[in-house]
Amino acid sequence: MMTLLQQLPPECIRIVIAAAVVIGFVFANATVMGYLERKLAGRFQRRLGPMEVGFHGLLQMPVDGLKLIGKQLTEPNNVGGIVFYLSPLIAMTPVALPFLVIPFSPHLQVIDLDVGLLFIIAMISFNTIAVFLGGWSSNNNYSMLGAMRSVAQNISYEIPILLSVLSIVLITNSFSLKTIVLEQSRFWFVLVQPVAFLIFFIAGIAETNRAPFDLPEAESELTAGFHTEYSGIAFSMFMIAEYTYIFINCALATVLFFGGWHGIPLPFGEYSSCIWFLMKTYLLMFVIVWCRWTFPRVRFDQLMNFSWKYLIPFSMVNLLLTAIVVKL
Amino acid sequence: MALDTGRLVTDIRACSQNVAEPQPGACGYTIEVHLSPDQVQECARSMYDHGMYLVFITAVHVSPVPEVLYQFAHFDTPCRVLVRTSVQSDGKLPSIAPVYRGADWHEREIHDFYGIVFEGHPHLKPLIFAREDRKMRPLLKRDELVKERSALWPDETGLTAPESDDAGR
Amino acid sequence: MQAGKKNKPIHYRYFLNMGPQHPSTHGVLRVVIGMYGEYVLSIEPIIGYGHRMHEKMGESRPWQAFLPNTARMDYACALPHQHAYVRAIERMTGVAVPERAEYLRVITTELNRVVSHLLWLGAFLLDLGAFTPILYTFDDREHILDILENVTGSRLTHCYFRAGGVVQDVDDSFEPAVRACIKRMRSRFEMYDKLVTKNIIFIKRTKDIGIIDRDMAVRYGVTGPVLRGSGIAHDIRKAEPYSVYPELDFDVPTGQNGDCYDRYLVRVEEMRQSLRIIEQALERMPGGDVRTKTPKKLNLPPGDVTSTTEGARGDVTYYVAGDGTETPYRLKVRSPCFSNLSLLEELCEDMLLADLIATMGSLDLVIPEVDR
Repeated sequence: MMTLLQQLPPECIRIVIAAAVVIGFVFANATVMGYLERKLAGRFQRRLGPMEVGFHGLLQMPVDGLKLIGKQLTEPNNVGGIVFYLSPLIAMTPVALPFLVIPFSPHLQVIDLDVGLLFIIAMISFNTIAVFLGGWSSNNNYSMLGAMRSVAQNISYEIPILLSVLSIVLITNSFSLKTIVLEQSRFWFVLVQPVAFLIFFIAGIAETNRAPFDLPEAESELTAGFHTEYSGIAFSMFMIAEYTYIFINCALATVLFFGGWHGIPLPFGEYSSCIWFLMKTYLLMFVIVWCRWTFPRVRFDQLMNFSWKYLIPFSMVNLLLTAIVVKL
Repeated sequence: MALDTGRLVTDIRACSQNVAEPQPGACGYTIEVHLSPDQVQECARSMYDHGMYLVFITAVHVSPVPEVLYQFAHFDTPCRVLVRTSVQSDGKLPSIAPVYRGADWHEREIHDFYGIVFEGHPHLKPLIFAREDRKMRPLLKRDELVKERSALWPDETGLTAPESDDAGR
Repeated sequence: MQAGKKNKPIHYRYFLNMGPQHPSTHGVLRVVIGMYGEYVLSIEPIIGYGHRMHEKMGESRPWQAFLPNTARMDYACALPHQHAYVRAIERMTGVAVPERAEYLRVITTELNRVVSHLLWLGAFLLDLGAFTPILYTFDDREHILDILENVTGSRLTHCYFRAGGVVQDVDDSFEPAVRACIKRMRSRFEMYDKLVTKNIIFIKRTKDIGIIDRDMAVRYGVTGPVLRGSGIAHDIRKAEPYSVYPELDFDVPTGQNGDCYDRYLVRVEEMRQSLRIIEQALERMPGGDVRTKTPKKLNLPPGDVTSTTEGARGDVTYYVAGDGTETPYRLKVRSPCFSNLSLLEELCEDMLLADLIATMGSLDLVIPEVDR
């Protein structure tokens, strides 16, 4: 066994361990974020949130996960065959891949692809397919409505994301995330590109189907939108995928605009950069949770109007100005 | 857009002479009129022209035929009109749904409760009851409990019910 | 919304069933929606899931036994129903009501109106997707419901009025508690203004949605805040005053366009006016009896009577026909939600689904009142 391990190149072992850690991190993040969301929702609504299970509800999410695993997987009549079970898997599988390129700290990055940024944005768009297949194959009018809304919404909001990210690429001349973070050692890009940050953040909330853009899963209109017919582990796969996409969005915003792992040295020695990164990301996630519990939902045609008539023109103008300034 | 009560009374008298104006403090309405079934739609149209809104339509099971009551009121001037009419001998009555679209639901409800059929109603299907209960007619009283009209309304206001064309009371 | 959606070929249409169980029909209401994409082509509300035949109950037992029923129909704002019924009986039988009882009736009714509008506000915003304000409004309601529970004995279905007055007098803690409540509510209104009234998403969801004009109101018999949102200042408390309302000074708020936003503004302003009414009534309330003794068996003389009060949802009218016995011969309850709901079929053509939800929420429906 040891001789086999010694024969493998060290790179291979490193990647295998990293992949395992990443998958573990995905589930851990879903747990932490689910707990944060429920506690924060309680606090925003003048109540306590989960308190019973474990100390102040800390064990609530693991226990909920166990409960969901134990539930029966219901299959309604006339669902679209294999696609009904494939769509949660399609939602879950690409979710771990962007973690391979995000720089958690100068040494904690699995692979630094030259096109890391494009890779992440490509992976995020798998969400659309999964939601659409899930809603379509459920043989339920509510789910179909949710799926169609989600497709239109995700397609419309990918464009502002791309355009605002392009402004950063123009400044740094590179798609590689490590390079982008290294370029922010003197000042963070949010100071230079505030408009791009705002557009990216808002479009990111819309991409991940979070309130106030959560029409595909609008509870009071569509019962539960595209995941009405899923129960147990299938439902929790969609939820884990959603929380992970939120993390990826916030991590990307941190890397692109807030300096990644840069920060004043903390007394943790080598780990302080990783802690800075995680703190900034979770701060952005707190803001997203805050938005969800504060604002009412936008109507669907207003949502599309907002993207096509406001976000895209603003981000194009921003891109143009950036190009001019960089040239000069 | 205040209501001209004098003109309203004149228009109602054009439909039927059985009009009285009791004290509102005693009974809650200012004008009471008793019509025969064929005058109902004309009266409803003149109510609509005066801008009176439909408050409710209900029925009372008296012998020999049930009586249907309509109440109208006005938004700007305090005036409530109670319109009474007896159902025709075949259990039918013209519907005012073409004039007052809100009467649609009221008349369906009366059809559920009493079995009175409203002619000219767009879709007289059960409103409150399920299909299997549509013949239940719960508000019709048992024979020994039904009272004569004169036991309920001793006609103090001088209204007389118009001569009905069915067998006498 | 473009006209002509109804001309789409029939195989493009599909039916969405907002079934009796749904998060945003307020009660058991089934709405079968014919849709084209996101557009609503036609709806058919199906009611009757909560029908308990109150009117037959009114005709089968003595009139005193119907008093609890009046509270169960519109449970969110039960006291106007009680008031209308009790006034009808008092009109028929000529029972006098002491002045202190009238003031207590007015104070408790206005408290009930505030409670009902707070419930509506939370539920309306929940329909629109804001999950948090409902908990704030429910917290406000708790303070008022505690007072009402002390006075009437129940939190929701208050059975407090009798023919001839009210059941029991209030104790010494009532007035300070009510004054504290009024002060607290006034400060909360500012918070709601900042969070909701000026919120751009809320305005965009409710402005120019579900416009009701005067002609529609006449044809369907629309009353209450839904009517006043369209600019018609018709309030039974001012038009056909009853109880001690003529001696109290308050305004009737109206909107301008008749859309959902105006209905929201009207209800919030009505809550403020209710607080004004309660303050004045507390000042002017005299001492004395709260109930005139009526004989145990009080016959209703032959004849019929209607009596109308202003409920939180519109004009509540009771029609009682007596025949000389204790049992009413006919008892008709006119519920405002019934008339308000019937206009939904005409109102919703060519709306988006989200707009239909917002409109239904703004009509302030309580389905048990529709079904009786």
